[in-house]
Amino acid sequence: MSTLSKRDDQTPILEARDVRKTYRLGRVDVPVLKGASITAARGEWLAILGASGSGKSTMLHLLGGLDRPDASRGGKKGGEILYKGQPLRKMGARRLDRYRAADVGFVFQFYHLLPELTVMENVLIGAMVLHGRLGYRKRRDEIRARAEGLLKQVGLSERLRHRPVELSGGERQRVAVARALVNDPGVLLADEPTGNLDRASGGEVLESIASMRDEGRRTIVMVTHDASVAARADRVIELRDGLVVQKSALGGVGRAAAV
Amino acid sequence: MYQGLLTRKYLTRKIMPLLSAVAVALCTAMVLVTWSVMGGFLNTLLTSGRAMMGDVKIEVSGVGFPYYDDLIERLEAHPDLVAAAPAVEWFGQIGLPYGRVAQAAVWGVDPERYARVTHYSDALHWRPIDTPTRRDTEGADPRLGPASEYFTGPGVRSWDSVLQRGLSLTAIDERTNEPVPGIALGIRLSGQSRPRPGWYEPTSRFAEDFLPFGGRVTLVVLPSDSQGRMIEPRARIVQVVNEIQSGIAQVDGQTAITRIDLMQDLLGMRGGERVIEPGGFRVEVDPVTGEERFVAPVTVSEPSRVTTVFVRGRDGLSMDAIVEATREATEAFIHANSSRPQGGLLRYLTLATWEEINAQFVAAVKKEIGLVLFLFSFISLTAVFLVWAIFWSMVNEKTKDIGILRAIGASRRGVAWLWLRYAVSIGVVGSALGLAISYLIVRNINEIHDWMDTALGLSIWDPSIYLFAKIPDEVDPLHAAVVGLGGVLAAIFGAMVPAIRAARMDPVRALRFE
Repeated sequence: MSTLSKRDDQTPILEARDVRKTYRLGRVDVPVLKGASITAARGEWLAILGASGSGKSTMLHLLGGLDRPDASRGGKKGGEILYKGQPLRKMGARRLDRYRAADVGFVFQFYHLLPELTVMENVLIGAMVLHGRLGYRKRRDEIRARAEGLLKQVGLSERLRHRPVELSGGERQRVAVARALVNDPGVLLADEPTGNLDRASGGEVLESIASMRDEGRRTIVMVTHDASVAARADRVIELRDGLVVQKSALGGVGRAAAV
Repeated sequence: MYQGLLTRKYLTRKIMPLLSAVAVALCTAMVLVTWSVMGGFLNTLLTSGRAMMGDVKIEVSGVGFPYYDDLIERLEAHPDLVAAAPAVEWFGQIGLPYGRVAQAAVWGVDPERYARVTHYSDALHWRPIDTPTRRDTEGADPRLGPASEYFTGPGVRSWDSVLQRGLSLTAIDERTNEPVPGIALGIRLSGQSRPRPGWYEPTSRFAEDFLPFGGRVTLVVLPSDSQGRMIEPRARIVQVVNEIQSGIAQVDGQTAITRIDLMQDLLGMRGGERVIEPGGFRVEVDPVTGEERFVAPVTVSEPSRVTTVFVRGRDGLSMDAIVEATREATEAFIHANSSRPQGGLLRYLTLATWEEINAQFVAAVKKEIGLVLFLFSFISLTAVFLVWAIFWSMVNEKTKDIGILRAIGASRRGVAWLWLRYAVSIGVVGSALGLAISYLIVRNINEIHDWMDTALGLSIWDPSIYLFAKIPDEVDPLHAAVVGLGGVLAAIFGAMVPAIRAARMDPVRALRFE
């Protein structure tokens, strides 16, 4: 991919350093991440491959600021998530909300569209959250044009007024992709984006994601358990039992199949 | 921004929030209907005095007081006072046909002056009318037709002449053809064809029995002397000239109004020469002529007395200002007349407003309103709990949406505001609906009550208890605003805990919620 050469001379946009995350189930602490470190460079498409329970979705949530690593205790450090070198831990709640709204965009396995809203509204709501009432009104035409452009790019320009229930799974996921990118974030975080789709629809979604790399300006971190899906990425790392067990600088179609 | 969009969508696509709105609407309507009727009752109570006694009543009950014309002149000269009217208030018996007797408060008034102070002329029942009254569904009211249909004898020829007789409280004596004092009876006093309180059914019987041929009643009063001792009862047969329908049950059921001169005559309050030492057949010698002559009786000139003067203040003036003006004029009157014969009685003059006269009752009504409103507002807390329960359930249902919103950058405060804004919308919709319902109910409450009475046999408003024949049917805009605001606040209050819960949700768990 052409982005590889660009990526090499750039600072990592997103980094997880020795991250630990433990969930409590009843009375039992269940460590999910046990000191995992990953780095995503600007413009890179990074795939995190792993089986169910390996901690890959947790890693994605931590990278997206939806959750925080464990607090340091008993000599154990919880690790850090850094965005452009800045630790998320030090961000206040408002800054973190803005980070999720403006700097990253999420795509989930189960689409997570708001069922009462139309396709167009589902995309616009991300911009509404970011800009607030006044800011949104001021930029309304520009935002609508961008939303329409994104939906056109994912092949849904004829379905703007439809509600999610009227769309197929693949179409819903493409709406989710458009929503994630409406605020033009630097990072797209995709959690099993094809996990709930048949191969053809999954392929369309991956095409959509690929088309949104914006000439290599956008970083994509994609979590999947499917090696063939991971193969679309520039680089693949594998998580197993909360640790990164394999890093591959390989990427691109075909090469990741070996991972 | 997104809160507005989602609120609109949730409101139009969900049944649950509509249930919340209905709960708010019902509670709002319940409180406002209660407040309107009870508050209207108090308001009617406070203002009804003006209908039959003006704003302030000056009185010396029992023996009465003299020089009232001077008092009236001084009162009417005051810039804050419009009119004043003398009256004699006494208790008496009215002897009705067929040997029936009714106890009554008998007021002797100067009809012209009395009408300037009160709404007396509006209270006269027998008058020409163009449209049937509320309960006269068949148009059977005799006042709608020509008087000649009922009155074939001499005297009254039209409803106008009946009204005039009521206004002047004067009838024509058939034998002498001279004007004589007449009497207007409270509409329930005669007991004719009006078996139930509040049901002033149109009846021709009263008209036939009393009005055309100078139907009469016997007025009996028990005068007292200046020491307050009862002396011989005095009776007079008087012609009935009209009926009084003031809407105040106490007046309509227990009052008769006649002319002041008649009452003064009967009670010995008419001024003139009074013998204090009769001459009899004693003989004395004239010191000048030396001739014998009968001893002349010793007489004193006594002024006429009344028990009461009703005062009406300028429209728009506060009651305090009217009382103050009345007090000023009365004090000047006492100062000028207290040294005149019988002027000592002026020391006993008292001033009272209608509200003061009924202070105990008004205070009880105010307390009752407070209590009822408190109880109903307390009951309305069910709306708060209903909203709370529905919102709790909706937050549960929308857990995933909350996770999505948090994932795309919505703040905790933004999520809380989403639910609170939603509650505000439900409160506004519910309150508006409640206000509309209560307005319709209150404005038509008398018709609804009539229908319940006719169709279901349920008569809740008894004028003999509540004083007024008509259930108050006005909605105070201020009360409506307060209740509407209360409805919105109740919805917000109910949504508070679910909103906080939504805001505090862990987004990762919310996204995984099934």
